[in-house]
Amino acid sequence: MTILETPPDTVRPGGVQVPTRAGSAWDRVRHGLDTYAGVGGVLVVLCVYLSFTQDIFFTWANWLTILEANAVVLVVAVGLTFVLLNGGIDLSLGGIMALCGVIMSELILNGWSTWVAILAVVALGTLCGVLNGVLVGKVGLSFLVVTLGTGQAFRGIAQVRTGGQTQSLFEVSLIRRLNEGEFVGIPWLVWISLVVLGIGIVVLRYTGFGRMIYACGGNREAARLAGINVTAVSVSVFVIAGCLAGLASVMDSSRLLGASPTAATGIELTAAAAVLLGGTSFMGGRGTLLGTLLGVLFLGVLANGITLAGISPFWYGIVSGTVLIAAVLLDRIRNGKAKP
Amino acid sequence: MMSPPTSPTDSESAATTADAADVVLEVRRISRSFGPVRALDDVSLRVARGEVLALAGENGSGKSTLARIICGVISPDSGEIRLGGEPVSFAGPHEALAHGVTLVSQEPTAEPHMTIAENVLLHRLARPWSIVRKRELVRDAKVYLDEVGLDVDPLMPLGALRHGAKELVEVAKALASEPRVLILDEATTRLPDPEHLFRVVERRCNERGMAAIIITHRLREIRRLSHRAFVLRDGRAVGELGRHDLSDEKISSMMVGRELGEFYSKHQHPLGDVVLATDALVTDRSPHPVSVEVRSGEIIGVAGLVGSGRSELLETIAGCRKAHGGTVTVNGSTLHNKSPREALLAGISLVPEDRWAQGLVAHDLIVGNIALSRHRAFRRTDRRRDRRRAADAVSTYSVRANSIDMPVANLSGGNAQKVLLARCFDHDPTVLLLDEPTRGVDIGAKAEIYGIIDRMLANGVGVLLASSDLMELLGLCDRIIVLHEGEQVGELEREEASEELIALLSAGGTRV
Repeated sequence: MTILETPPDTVRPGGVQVPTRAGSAWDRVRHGLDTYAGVGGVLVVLCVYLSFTQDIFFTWANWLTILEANAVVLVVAVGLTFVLLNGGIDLSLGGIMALCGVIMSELILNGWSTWVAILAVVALGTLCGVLNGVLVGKVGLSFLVVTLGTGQAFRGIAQVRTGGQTQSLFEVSLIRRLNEGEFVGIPWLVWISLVVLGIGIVVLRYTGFGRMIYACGGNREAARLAGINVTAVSVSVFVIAGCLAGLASVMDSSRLLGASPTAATGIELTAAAAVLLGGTSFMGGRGTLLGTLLGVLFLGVLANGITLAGISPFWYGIVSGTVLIAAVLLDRIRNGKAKP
Repeated sequence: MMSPPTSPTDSESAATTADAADVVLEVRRISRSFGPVRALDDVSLRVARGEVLALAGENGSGKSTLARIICGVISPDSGEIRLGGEPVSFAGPHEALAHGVTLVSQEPTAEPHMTIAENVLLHRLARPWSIVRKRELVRDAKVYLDEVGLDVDPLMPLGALRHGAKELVEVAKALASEPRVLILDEATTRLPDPEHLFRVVERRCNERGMAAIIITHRLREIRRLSHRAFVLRDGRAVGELGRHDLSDEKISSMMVGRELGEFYSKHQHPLGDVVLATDALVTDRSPHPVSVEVRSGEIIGVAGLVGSGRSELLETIAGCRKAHGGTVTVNGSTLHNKSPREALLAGISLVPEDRWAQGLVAHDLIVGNIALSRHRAFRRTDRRRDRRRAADAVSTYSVRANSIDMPVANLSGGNAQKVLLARCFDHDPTVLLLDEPTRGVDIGAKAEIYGIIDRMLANGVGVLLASSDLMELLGLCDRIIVLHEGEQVGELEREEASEELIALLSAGGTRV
């Protein structure tokens, strides 16, 4: 094939003006506004309202509280974004977290070095992800069935091992430091979640693997015929989600200073709500991690505002659920004319 | 261009062919666009009681769109449909069905797990409050199964039937809705004995005054069955032919509207070494081995009816389907694990049959679609390079788009196809497998795509072209192999190939 050595932004033989650069900065801002209009708009409205009604809301300390309270959900949501972009969902993440937390405390109480125990449970989470990934991507079972089943099984193992008891990690110094420690005024947990988010953004945007996930989620058959190993991609997104769930369990255990087999119950659904709020398509192929961050922030700010205003916390579900459906509806209306 | 004998956009003159009192279905000035493509432009037609009207036209001329509008599957942008003089507008196929307008389409719509009787009387089951009595169901289904001459146990699951019989169940299902207007859209392509179906349709038309609209590529069938032919070209009505004017030459020249020679730019390119060879390759669809050799600069056609295994052959060569035996050799080296990736790296590029389902990521941008095959998992994406190559491809293949940051879903079929071709050419293939490269593409884009193929041949690529468009095969190919139910039943040199011969062989006939 001949590649024409023509300068960019000229009229070509085909008579078509082809800009090779993406649009101006303003274009990108506008595109961004358009993409995140739903959740971003509601988030801004909520923030403005809260900053007028609650004096404490717009303080550095309160924002750190929000970020810290949602660091665990953010890490889980990053992993789940990978799975959703590929066109699946992982319902076992809460189960993986419970299992990892329990095993970690068990290892530490048995005298393992805390660092080794942490690495071991991140590896364990990854392994759980491999199991999900192989059953879904390689064997070809339904992701709903598989992750529903493995999630229950993982949590079951955690319950059997502990007899349902919560194990305290109050005495473990590294876990305490993770809980209380700060770096340049920002808690460790927040740092970890932001680094995970940053790595995720780079992987999705700037690596071939990231683009493959979008392609597989957008049209699996086309991706396969284009020479992409769709099985490997399907397996790996579950592995990533499992690995991050393992990490999240360490963070969660340090936040609660203990490990319980009922920890993180339903966290995968909270994370899924955040991811979907952020504009990621349930059918896969569309979405960004920035959107996921906005989704997590929205849920966090909402919970924070309800607490500050002293409203019954039961309102939380009503508002977040309604906004979720409204956001997806808005997305549908805007993309109404796109081909399937 | 030839002048049409009657002007069908003028609804008054159409009345001369069908007595006004007898008109069952009247289509008035229907237009419909898909994005920038005008699939139907101001089309009017009438069908009378007991009449069989043939809709003729090339691929992409708008026949199926018209059929789908009449049956309420899609709605027109403008124009109206009258049924027995009353204007109607269908919100969906179920409403058309309730008004006695029934479509038998190319794609089977049957439920393989349900019984034959349930499939035939599906419209009855669609009433949620009715009580289903099995004995009644069987008795009534039997009536329609007898009508199409199918002697099977109505309580068998439909999936157990062989091909051909399934299509007859489809027809029985249509007849069971007691249609006033029956539309057969390429319904005969899968039938072993279309003549049988014609007799069924004729009997209904004569005895009960049913009107029928048939859509078929086979000119013979138009002559055999229809009272009138209505010819579409590029979404416009170009004319009508009465019973006595129905000759192959008249229909096809009206359909094509030009001499074939100027359209198919066939140049003879110097032939090089064999770039692709399959040796006794067995696909997962039929037990017959296929052996074919393609040289550099050569274009080989693959002809055959729907279901003859054309696509399966190409997809097996490209590693997208499991081969059940035989070998694929590219540039002298044999492929081993036969994955799409291996084939791609060896230099095989497949342009799949269904560009939306198998080829493109619809909501992704042009640039993303063209770069799709380039991604390496552990490599950084090179956005500047991807954008530059996409921009070059867009201009080289004259894709009509405002920018490469446009979702391909917004492109017309022809332009989307050019994006797909651009991706396949992006990694310098030595073998190009084209599966229906111009299906549903307008005439202008078609000519451009032929130009692109010709350029690839000049660059020494070997091409295997599967197509249901015989004109295309005859116009472009050096040799044509013919498949019948997966079996390689003939190999024709360019000089000896003719439409009749290909049709004969692909229908399972033998050369005299």
